[in-house]
Amino acid sequence: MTPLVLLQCALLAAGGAFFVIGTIGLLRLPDAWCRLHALTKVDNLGLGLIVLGLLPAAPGVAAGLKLLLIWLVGLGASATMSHLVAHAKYYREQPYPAPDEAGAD
Amino acid sequence: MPQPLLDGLMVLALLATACGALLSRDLFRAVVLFIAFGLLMALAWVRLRAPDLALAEAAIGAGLSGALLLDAVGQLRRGEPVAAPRRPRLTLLLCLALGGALGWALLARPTPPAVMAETLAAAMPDSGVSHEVTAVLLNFRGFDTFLEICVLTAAAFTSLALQSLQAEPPPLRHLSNRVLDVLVAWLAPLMLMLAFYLYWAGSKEPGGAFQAGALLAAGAVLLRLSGVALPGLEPGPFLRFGLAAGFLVFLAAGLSGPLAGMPPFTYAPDSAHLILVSVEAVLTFSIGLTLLSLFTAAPPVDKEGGRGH
Repeated sequence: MTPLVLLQCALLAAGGAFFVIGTIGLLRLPDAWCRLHALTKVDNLGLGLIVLGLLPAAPGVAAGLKLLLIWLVGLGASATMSHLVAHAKYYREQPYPAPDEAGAD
Repeated sequence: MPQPLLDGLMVLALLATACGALLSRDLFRAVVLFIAFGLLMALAWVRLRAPDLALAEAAIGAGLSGALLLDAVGQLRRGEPVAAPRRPRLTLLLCLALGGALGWALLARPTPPAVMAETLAAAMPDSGVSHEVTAVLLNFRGFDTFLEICVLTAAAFTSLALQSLQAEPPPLRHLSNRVLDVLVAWLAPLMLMLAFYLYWAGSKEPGGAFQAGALLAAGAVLLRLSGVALPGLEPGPFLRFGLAAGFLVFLAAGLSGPLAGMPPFTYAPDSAHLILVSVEAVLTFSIGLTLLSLFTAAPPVDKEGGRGH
C-alpha cells in the first residue's frame, strides 16, 4: 500500500464520514433551518473529499477534470437548492414584511 | 467483478427505498424516496455493466419523472393522508410470486449467451456504428425502437389533447429568484452541450438519442421552472411538427429499405452510419420535446386544490 493509496483511503473515508454526519444532522436536528445547514455544508464537504480521494486514480486529465466539474456542479446545485428551500419556507411561514418594517429583523 | 458487500448493500437500499416509497403515507415523502430509488437503480445498472441503461435511468427515472411527480404532488391537496391499499396481503403475495418467477427465469436460462455475442460481433462492421447497444437498438432491432417511438408520439399527442382542453395556455408557474437565475445561466448551456455530446457519442460509447433527449428535456424543464419562456411551446404547427418529426423520420428511414429491395428497417452497410446519425438527431429533438410537453401540458389547478376542468 503506497502512501498515495493510503491517502486516497483516508480521504474517501473522511468523505463518507462527513456524509454520515450530515445524515445524522438531517435526522436529528430540530428545525428545517438547521437541517439545511447540515445538508449543504457537511454534504458538500463530504463530496469534495470523495472527489479529492478519487482524483489520483483518474485515468487521465480529462477524467480528472470531469470529476472536478461534478464537484462544481454539485456545489452550485446544492447551494442554490438550499437557498430556494429556505426562501420557500420563509415565505410560507411569514409573508414578507411591508417595506417600512423591513429593518425589523 | 463480484463485490458482495457493495452489491448486497445496494440491494438492501433498493428494497428499502422502494418499500418506503410505496408504504409512505405522505405523498411528498413517497416521491422523494422514488427519486432516490431511481438514483440507486442507475447505480445498479452500472454494477450490471449496462451504462446506457444507467444513463437513461438517471435522466428519466430519477430526473424527469421525479420532476413530473413533484409537480403532480404540488398540485394535489396537501395534508390529505393517502388511503391504505386494499387487500395488502394479496398484493404482497402477487408481488412476491412475480419476483420469484422472474428470479427463477433468470437463474434457469437454458444456454449461455456467448453465441449471441459472437454473432453480434461478426455483424458489427455492417451496422454503421461501433457501439453494440446502439447497433442493436437502431439497426438490428430497429423495429422495436420504432414501436417505442410510436408510444412516445402517442403520449405526446395525448399531452397536446390535454392542452387543447384549456382555453389558454397554462400560466408560466415559475420562481423568480436571482440565485436560481445565476445557476440556470451556468447550467443550461452545460446541459445543452452534454445532451449533444451524449447524442454524438452514442455511436461509439454509451449514450444515444433517448439519453440525450431526456437531458435536453430536463434542461428545458429547468429553464421553464425558472421563468424563461421557451418559444415554440405554444400550441401550433411548430410544436406538432417537432413532436411528430422523430416518428416520421424514423418511419421514412425504415421504409427506405423496401425501396432498395431490402426488408423494412434494414440499411445498406455503407449508408447505415449516415442514416442512423440523422435519425438519432431528429429523435433526440423529438424525445426532448415530448418529455417537455408532458411536463408543461398539465392543466392548471383551481384555488380549492382540486384538479381544474
